Amino acid sequence: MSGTLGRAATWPRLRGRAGGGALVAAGAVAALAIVPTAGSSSARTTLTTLLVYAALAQAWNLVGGYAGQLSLGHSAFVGAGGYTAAMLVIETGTPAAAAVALSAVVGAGLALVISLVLIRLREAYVAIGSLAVALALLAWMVTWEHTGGSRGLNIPLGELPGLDTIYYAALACVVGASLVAWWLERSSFGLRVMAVRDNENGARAVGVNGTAVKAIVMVVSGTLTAVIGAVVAFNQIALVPENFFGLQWVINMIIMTIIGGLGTVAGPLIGAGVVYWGIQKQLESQPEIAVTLTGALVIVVIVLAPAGIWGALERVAGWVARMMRARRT
Amino acid sequence: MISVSTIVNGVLLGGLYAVIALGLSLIFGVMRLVNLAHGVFVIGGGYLSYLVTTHLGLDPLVSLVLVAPALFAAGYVAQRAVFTRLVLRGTEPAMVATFGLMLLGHGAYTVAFSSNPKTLSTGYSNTGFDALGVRLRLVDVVGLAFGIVLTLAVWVWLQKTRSGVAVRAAAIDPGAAETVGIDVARMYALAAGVAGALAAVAGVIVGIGYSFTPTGGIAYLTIGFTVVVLGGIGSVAGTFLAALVIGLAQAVGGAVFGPVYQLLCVYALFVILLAVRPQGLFARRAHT
Repeated sequence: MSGTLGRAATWPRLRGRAGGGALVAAGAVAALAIVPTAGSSSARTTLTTLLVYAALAQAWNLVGGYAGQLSLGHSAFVGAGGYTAAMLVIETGTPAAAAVALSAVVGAGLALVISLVLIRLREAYVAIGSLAVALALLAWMVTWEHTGGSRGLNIPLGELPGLDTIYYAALACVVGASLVAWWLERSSFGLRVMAVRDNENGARAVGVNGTAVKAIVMVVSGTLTAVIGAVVAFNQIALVPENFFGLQWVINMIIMTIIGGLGTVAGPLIGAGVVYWGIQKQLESQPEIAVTLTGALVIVVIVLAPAGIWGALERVAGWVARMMRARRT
Repeated sequence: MISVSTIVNGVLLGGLYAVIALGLSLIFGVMRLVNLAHGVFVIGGGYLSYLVTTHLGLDPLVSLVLVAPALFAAGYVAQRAVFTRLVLRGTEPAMVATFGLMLLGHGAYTVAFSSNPKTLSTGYSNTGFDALGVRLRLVDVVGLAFGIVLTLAVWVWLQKTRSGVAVRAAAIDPGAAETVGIDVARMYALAAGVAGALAAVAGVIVGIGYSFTPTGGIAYLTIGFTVVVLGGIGSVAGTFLAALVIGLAQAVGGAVFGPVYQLLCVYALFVILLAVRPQGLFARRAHT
């Protein structure tokens, strides 16, 4: 390590050098921000979906990656957020922006309830417990006549925000969720979160309130996910329980995060790009082959590169940096 | 409302749930692994039997002679090739891999068999008879019979045979088991194989009595886990009792609130159970 100080500064590692990362991120956001004015409407449609997935994966990553709680129940937040926004617009004529804000409140409340229910559970039990909560909500929504039962809801066309607005809302969700993840990597609170993930008993022994830490991350993640659910509702207009409370949301969140790199800021974003644009979009007419491929990819990644694509890139970058260093000396 | 018929049919349904949950319980108990692909194995049993019955003209129950060994092999090989090394790394990577296997199954079944529901047609699918003044379906009675027989078989295997004791030793302390000469990786594969064979039986019963779709395993997975948690980890008898309780809860819930609320009752029961008594009703001691 000695004597490489100057070298490290000129050859930034992919992670840990906040300056370079922030520059790349700012450039990417700026490029994405001009798409509605500069790009075609089909590019905007594709990118809106991609941004929604990236935001969802990042929101799940907070709980699944940083807090180590493998939630299978995050579809419940998408559904709760979407349904809350739609119900508010339909029943009370609430403006779209206010409806999104109130769906955040409902998402936070639901996350708090789920945290209380799952409070005594660890590891595998969290996964199956949250799955049961999500399936219970789905079963309830299919039967609850107040929200249209299995027929679902339709948002009146006059109340819809423009497609550009939806695009920017999705972009804002990606930025917001990623900032939270970035903050978790650098703050003392984030350190406590990761300590609970890596060794809950140890963390508790040194005075970390594991229960509170996990609940806070769940509430933040649930709030973000519900907001994205509301954005999805305005994008899809027609809401049926299967499409909003169904497991396909959380399945996508998990595979994107795992394939991209669990517990990293860049991982879920890369994973969303690879899985949505690289597989699902290219195989749009054969969704069953896309599902088969993603399933196989998840197994391959977890066996061969458990840190995901981002982790593999970091390893390659570290290897290249060592080679360069070795050649100089 | 609640009639004798509801109670009896709930108990019979519980027999099927016992078969589903036994395999899950075995893998969870031995490796601490939440096998999210268990539903895919159950449905795979259904599809495999569908192939055997249509091409060889065998009865679905007779087809188990081929289907159960096939799924035993599938479980054994998958465990050897992929899951054991992941389990040794920690429970989470292995669970994520079962999640990948679940997706792989959903996709592959849809490619091979389309998403239309399939049933295993037999001459006796709807054959019924009267007993205790109640109309019973033959297939449901067969399901309960399998539940009882397989529960006893698994119990005898784990308690009374050499390989069963070795599997339990590998479950309780893999390191110590390894030092006394037990091949832990082989015991894990054996447990996964038996779980696969149990899933095959469950899939055939589901196929005869009901119908199945590529993604239909998720409902059975959740019901299976409800049973496993209620029964307590590692308790074979507890699992069987819990399966009867869940079958009853579903039947009674459906009779009281209406058929659409059947599954909601089961899920709600599970969530309440996890919040109040996560170690299960029949667990003798925590098993960590």
